[in-house]
Parts: sequence; structure tokens; C-alpha cells
Amino acid sequence: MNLDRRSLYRFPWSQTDNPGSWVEVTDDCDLTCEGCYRHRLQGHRPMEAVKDDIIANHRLTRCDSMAIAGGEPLIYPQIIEVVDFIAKRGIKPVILTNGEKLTPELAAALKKAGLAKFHFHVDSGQERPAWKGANEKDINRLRQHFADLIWELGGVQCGFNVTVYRRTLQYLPVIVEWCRANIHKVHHISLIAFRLIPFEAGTEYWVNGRKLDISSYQTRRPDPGEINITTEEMFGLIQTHFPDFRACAYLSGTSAPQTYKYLITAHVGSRRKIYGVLGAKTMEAVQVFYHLAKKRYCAFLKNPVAGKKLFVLSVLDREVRRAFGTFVRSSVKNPARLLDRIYVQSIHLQQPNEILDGRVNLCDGCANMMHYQGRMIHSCQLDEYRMFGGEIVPARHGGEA
Amino acid sequence: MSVPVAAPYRFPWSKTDNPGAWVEVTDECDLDCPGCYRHRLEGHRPLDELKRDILALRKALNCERIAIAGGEPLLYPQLVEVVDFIARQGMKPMILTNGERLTPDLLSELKKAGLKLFYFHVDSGQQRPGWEGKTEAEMNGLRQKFADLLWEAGGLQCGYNITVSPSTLSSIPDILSWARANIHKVQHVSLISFRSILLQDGWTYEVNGCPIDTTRFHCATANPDDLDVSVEKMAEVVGEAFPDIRPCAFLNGTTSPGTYKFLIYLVLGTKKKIYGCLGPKTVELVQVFYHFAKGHYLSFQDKATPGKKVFLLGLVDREARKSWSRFRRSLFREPRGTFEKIYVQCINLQQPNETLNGKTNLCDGCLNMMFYHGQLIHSCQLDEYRLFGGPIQPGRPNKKDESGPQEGL
Repeated sequence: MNLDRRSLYRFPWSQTDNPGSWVEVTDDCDLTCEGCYRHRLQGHRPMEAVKDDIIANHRLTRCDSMAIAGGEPLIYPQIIEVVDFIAKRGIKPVILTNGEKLTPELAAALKKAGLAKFHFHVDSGQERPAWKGANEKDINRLRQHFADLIWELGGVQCGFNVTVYRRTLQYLPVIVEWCRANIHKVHHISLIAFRLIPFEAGTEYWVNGRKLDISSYQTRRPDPGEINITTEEMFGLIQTHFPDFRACAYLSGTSAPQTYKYLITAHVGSRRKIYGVLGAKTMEAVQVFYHLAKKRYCAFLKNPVAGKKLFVLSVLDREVRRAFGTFVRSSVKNPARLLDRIYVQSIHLQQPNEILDGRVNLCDGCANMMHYQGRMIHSCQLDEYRMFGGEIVPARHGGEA
Repeated sequence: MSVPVAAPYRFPWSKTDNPGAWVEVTDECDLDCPGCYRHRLEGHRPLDELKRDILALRKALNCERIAIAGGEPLLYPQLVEVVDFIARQGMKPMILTNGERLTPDLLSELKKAGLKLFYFHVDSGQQRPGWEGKTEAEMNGLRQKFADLLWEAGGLQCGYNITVSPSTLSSIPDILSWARANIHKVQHVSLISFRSILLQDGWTYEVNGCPIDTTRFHCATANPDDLDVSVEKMAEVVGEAFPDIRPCAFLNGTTSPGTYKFLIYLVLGTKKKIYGCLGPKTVELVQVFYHFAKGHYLSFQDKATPGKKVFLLGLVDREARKSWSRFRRSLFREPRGTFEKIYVQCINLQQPNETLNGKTNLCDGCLNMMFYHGQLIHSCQLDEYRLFGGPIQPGRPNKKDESGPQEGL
């Protein structure tokens, strides 16, 4: 496996200077996904509270994009207003949705309000009524449906979230292959390892110095083997099938800095062929120059059509040089390819909020922080705050003192 | 008319890409500073172990500077070897010392081994033999002695660590006035607010979920006023005394991101006159281009004399532009100033490890991480690991849960 940390760029993001941010409009949802970590407690949030959070979040993170999440945001009555409010502040709005309620009309209205990207959560663990028993390969057809819908609409980017379970891990190459074939329609995919709080003998959980009955938060007792998929494992599996799959940038864990919590590979290609990937130097150049010019880091570029000028980066980036070489060779064989549009597609491997070696290991420089009652929290921990007023921490029973 | 001030730049440093690192060679010391957070438990550490730590730090952090700390490093018999080892790895060694044992001979040996920077801990709270009861202004006399010693030797940078307590907060201008007059000799001044755990009724502390006996932690305090100095308060004092400088970059707290844990000023001047400072854009440009070229971030420049070309930064940096116009104006009155060397001096305000809003608030992107038993930890927490086996967490078992807004943002 080709993962040498010194060849990867650690994003310069921090809690106070971060391109990403997160706001939740509702905790209602029209699906019941296996991997869901959100509890239904409050329903739709008042529009004013949502706006206040957006403003506070923008001020505290200097964000470039904001994820509108939930619950299912498309069942929130004022969703268009939320998108419009974010876009008017100069932030790129992204909607995280299961897509069930998406119609071409609603998509067009959201586009008009300034939506920059749809992020569809689609995987076989969602128990969707029309897709019972489908595996990850079958469900690529649903992904295709959404990708086509957004392609027809035009001007809005399309991304996917996929929760990866132990039983679906084997399908990663099939998913990535589908993405590569759709590089013109699919700009982003996040492959997120399934995580739950482990139930281990001798481990207690505490919130704000009080012992917590963990079953009041999570009823399922996971088998240790189903919650230990790492980004490295996913990366290795994909790389075995696609030897040109090489990562360029990452975020590490907060309590276990040796872990990769967020590992990014950026494909370069046309709809007919993937030519290669971007390297660490390109990712660094994009972040650094964007920040120098705009005083904020880059969440994603507005236009995923990079064009052939991208290959100029060959002068400083070995990976782009290799991709350029492949492009030239394949164009010699088939000159029509010179006319193809060149796209960039990013594949994110994520290992979310987890208990590791007796500690809470979060993404250091997390791009999904949210504003909650006067403070910034990791959005993956929202329900720990909503239900218990603080972060759940493990305590070893009978530890040394 | 009030002019909008550019927000300081958040350093791009993280746990895995950080210019600084920390290694402790001994926990013995020849002074007994009241604010010291180090306990004498182990004495000198074996050299092999130190070398292993140094290599591991470089690999884990991608660092370019290693602080050799303790205890008092000058008591460590193989100190020259440690400096030499760090320098041979292509990193910048720096020593944190109280200076008591420093002789011109030892100094030249360390310089020859590749030392780049001495950081002297000198403040009135140390109660040094011969300096008892002195004020911060009087301690400048001892600071001057060390600065002169290094200036004579040449080729080494000189810095100071100063612990600031509520009683010495108002002396900051005395210290910085002295530092400004010595800008050619002094490259770094770190003003560090005193921090420790607070012992109060109803408060308990725990490690790994078990309550600890806080009496074993000898820098704990029962007086909340001791912990009253913050970076913001120090910055206010600095801003009132020296309106010509502004902070350019910072690190925030881990659990309270609204706090400044590390706030820096880059003062620009000659030994005759201070012209102003450098701003956020300069720090950003320097950090990112250095990283682009070398693959790691910058801890400190090898040379603190950038020359007049530094004013070219006025093209992109408002603060550098202001310094440039002050420089030009002063040339009318004092044309000989043209030939004076320009120096940069770094003033750091720091607010270390603290308990805030019921959580441990550390420096996010800390420059002083170290290895302890194979684990990367904040060096300010070392004794929490050595004494109790893990970081101290505040616990409030008998109190009602305090959810909701706690943090002034």
C-alpha cells in the first residue's frame, strides 16, 4: 500500500480557519438507515435559529461551504430559504440528502436559490422501500438516477455519501469503478467507515463527570469486527484494483494522530478515461493560493471542469506529470481525446468519530463543525450534546490513580 | 477614523505537520521556581532514549526545530551530543535554560555542535539567589547579561521565557521596552501566563476516570486570582504601551476555540528605532512558501536580519507598509538611519494548559509536542502522565450537569 505520510499534504485547516461547516435544519427523516447516528428529538428547527447558527458558524470558521444536513433537509419546509440565505453570504451551500423527495422541479428551485452541490447518501444499508435486498452493485443504478438528474439540471455539483459496512467493503472497487466511469457527472464521493460505540467489558462511559448508561444512547452492541474498518483498509482495497489510485491529502485523528481520519484521492480524467490523480503539491497550491486571495480555505472549486490547463501543474506535481503523460500517450493513439473535457473528481475515505485506545478520536481540523448553543462542536457528536449535555468519553474501570 | 484591522493569521500547524517539537533531557534543576510544573522524579534520561525520541518526533511531526528542555538542560552531561545529534538530522536545536551554568566555553562548544537558539527563563518569580525581591524592570539587568554574552559569541539567537502573574502583568511594558532597545541582540520574548489546576470545594480531578490526589501535583493553586492573566489581557497591556504593533498570527484553544493560546507580534526596527511590525499576510506568505519549498513549516528564520528588502512586503502587507512609511519619514530627520541594520523580533503571548468551561483547553497546533512512552503528548502535560498515567481531566461527580452555553465567544 502506497501511503507514505511525507508524500501527503496535511490540510492546513483548524477549528478557527476551516473551509467547511455544518448546519442541521431538522432531525426528521423519511428513511431509517442502519448506520444513522441521529435521534429524532426535536423535528424541524425554527428558521431564525438556523439563520443564527449560520451566521455564528461563518464568523467562527471563515467557512467556504456549508453543509445543510439533518435528518432529511428536503422535508424541511423552508429549505429554499436556507439555501438562499447561505448563498447570499457568499458561502457555497451543499445539501446532504437521501434524495427520496427530490423532484426535477425542487432541484431547479434549489439551483436558483444558489445551491452549489447535492450530496446524496445512497448505500445498501438504508432499507429503502424500493431497494430491499439490493447490494452495492445493484444500488449503483439509484446513484446513476441521481447523477443523471443533476446532470440534466446542470450547474450544480453532484456528490455521494456511502456508509461502508464490513459486509459491503468488498463492493468498494465496484463503487469506485462506477464513479470513474461517471467522472463528468459525479464530482465527489465520500466512503465512510461504519462506526458505533464499542461495548467492551471494563469500559464505562461518562458525560460531564457523570456515569452514563450507554444503552440510553445506543442500543446495538456491535461486534468489534464490524466497527474497525479503517481508511487505510479501504484505501488498500481500492488500490489493489486501481493501481493508479494514490492519495494526496489527509486529516489525522485528534487523540491518535497516526490515524487517517480523512484521506483524499483526486482523479483526473475525461468521461472516456481516467488519466491519473492529483498530487500533494497541487492540493497544497490550491489551498494556499485560494487562502491568500480569499482569506479562507477552499472546500471545493466551483467548476469541476478543470480543463487542460490543469496539466501546467506538471511543473511542480509529479502526479500531474504522470497524468499528463498518460493523456498524451492516449491522445496519440486516439486524437479525438484531445477534444474531451478534463474533470477532477475527489474520493474521500473517512473514519468518523470513534473510540480508539480508550479515547475519543475525532478528525483534527474537522470540516463539519457546527454551532450548538454558543459553542462549536463536531457535528458527529451533536446528539451527545443534545441528549446528555456533553461529549461521551470512555473511562477504563479501575484505571490507575 | 478607525481603520479595520486585519484578523491575525491562524498558523497552518497541526499534530502531524508542525515545525516544532520538544524533548526533555533531565528533570533536575538548580533553581526552584515557584511556578514550575515539573516534578523531580527520574533525573537524567539515557542518551539512547533521547535519540530515539528525536527521530520519532521528526517522523511523526515533520518538525524542523527541537526544544531541548527539562529540568535544566545545562546540567545534563551529554548535552553537546544531543545538540549535535539534532543538528545532524538537519533540524534546528534550541535550548531552554535558566542560564545559571552558562559559561563562554560551554557556549562556544554548543554553538560548534550546531545550536541555533538559547531561550533563557528569567523572571522575578524565580527567586534566584542574588536576585530575590527584584522587580521585572530590575531583572532586565540579568537579561542584559545573557544577551550580551550571546552577542559577544555571535551566531546564536537569543530568546526569553517570562512567566507573567497578576502582580507582574503591569510590568510587561518594562520588559518589552528593554527588548525593543535590544532588538539587535534579542530575537524572541515569550510572555507566558501562569496556569495550573485550581483546587476548590466541589471540584475534583480525574485521570482515566479515577479521582486523583491533587496534593501530589505541586503547582496546583487554591487561589483563582493566580490564574487571572490571559493572552487577551496581556495583549491589552501590550497594545496600550505600544500602539505601533499589532498581533499577526495565533493558535486557538482545543476545547475553547474562542481563546487565543498563542498570539505573536513581529516587531521591526533597528537598534536605534522601532518602525512597526509585520502583519498577517507576511506570516502567511512565509509559512506557505517555506512549506512549498522545504516540505515543512517554519519555526524561526535562521537570520533575524531580513535587510531593507523586508519593506517590499509592504506591497501585500498593510503593517509592513506602515513600517515602511515610518522608516522613510525618519530618514528625513536622521539620514544616517539608512545604514542601520533592520531586525525582526518576535513577541509571543502564551496561555498554557488550563481548565476552562469544565474542559482541558490546550494549544491547538501546539509547537511543543513530545514523545512519552511511544505516545505523542503536549509537553505541558508530561507530569500528568508521569505522576498519574494520563492527562488530568476535571470531573464534577456531585454537581448537576451544566449543559448549554458556557463559552463566551
